[in-house]
Amino acid sequence: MKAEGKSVLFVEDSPTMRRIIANSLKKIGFSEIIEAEDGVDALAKIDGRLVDLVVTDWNMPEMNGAELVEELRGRPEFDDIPIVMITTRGMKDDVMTAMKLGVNAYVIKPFTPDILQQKLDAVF
Amino acid sequence: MDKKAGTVLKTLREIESLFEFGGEIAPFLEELFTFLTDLMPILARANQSLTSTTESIPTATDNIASADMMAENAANTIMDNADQITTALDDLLSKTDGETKEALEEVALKINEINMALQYQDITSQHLKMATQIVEAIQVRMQKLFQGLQTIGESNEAIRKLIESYSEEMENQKPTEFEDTIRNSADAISQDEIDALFGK
Repeated sequence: MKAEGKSVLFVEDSPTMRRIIANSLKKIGFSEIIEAEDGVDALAKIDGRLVDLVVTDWNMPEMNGAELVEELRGRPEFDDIPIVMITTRGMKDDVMTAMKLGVNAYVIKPFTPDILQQKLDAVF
Repeated sequence: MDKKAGTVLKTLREIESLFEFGGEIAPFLEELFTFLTDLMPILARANQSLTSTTESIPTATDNIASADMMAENAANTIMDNADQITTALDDLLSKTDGETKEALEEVALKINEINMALQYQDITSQHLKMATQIVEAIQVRMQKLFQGLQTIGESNEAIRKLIESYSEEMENQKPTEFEDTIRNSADAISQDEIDALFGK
């Protein structure tokens, strides 16, 4: 996967987790990381522009990760953009729901940098 | 006359049947009364316990939220320091090579592992939030139950007096360990407040 020159929309409500994942994405080599606190904030931050990848948490206030994915997948310009869900929700039903909504990879917290790298390699 | 006598006899038979029914139902009513008398102390205790516990729930949930915030601040402090160490390490790595560089790279990896381990702060936080939501939902139901018990008491003077007498008795009793724990956590004060009390 070549992250250089690529942008990622990264959505996470926990400041601690946001910092950890943002650091991981920087180390992977993304040129631009657009950080958002929840789905509503994410939609406001992208404001019609395109990104190369979306990484999102599930449990968030306002608009959660599943709702965000549904919203993005409803937009033709986001049809082929890979979406990675990073969440504590580890029930099979959750994973199935995410898949049906159009999530390309699903990472359970806590994760290691290697796991994140593997998942990104698989979808990006 | 015969007709009247027949009516009287019929009425007497009805009264007799009523007494027979009364005789049959009397033991059941007695048992029911005994059951209600036994139940009242339990209801009175539940009433009082529910009141104190329900009133303490907001404090307990606030304490959990406060502990969660402290854990998040601590995690951020650790990450701030880890970031500074990483910056210093990156600088050193660019100036060294050989075994020293390998050793520094090993340290950088360990720092990264520390950062990644801090994910547990967020995971714990999410579990605490879910537990808090459950406790708050229980609080709502307990309040409804408590209101129901009050309504029972208000609807019957004898039951109300019984509840009041047991409540007074409960007030004079020593608090349980559980009640002590709740009271202690609700009454906790900060180090600054303690210092102020000591006049420092």
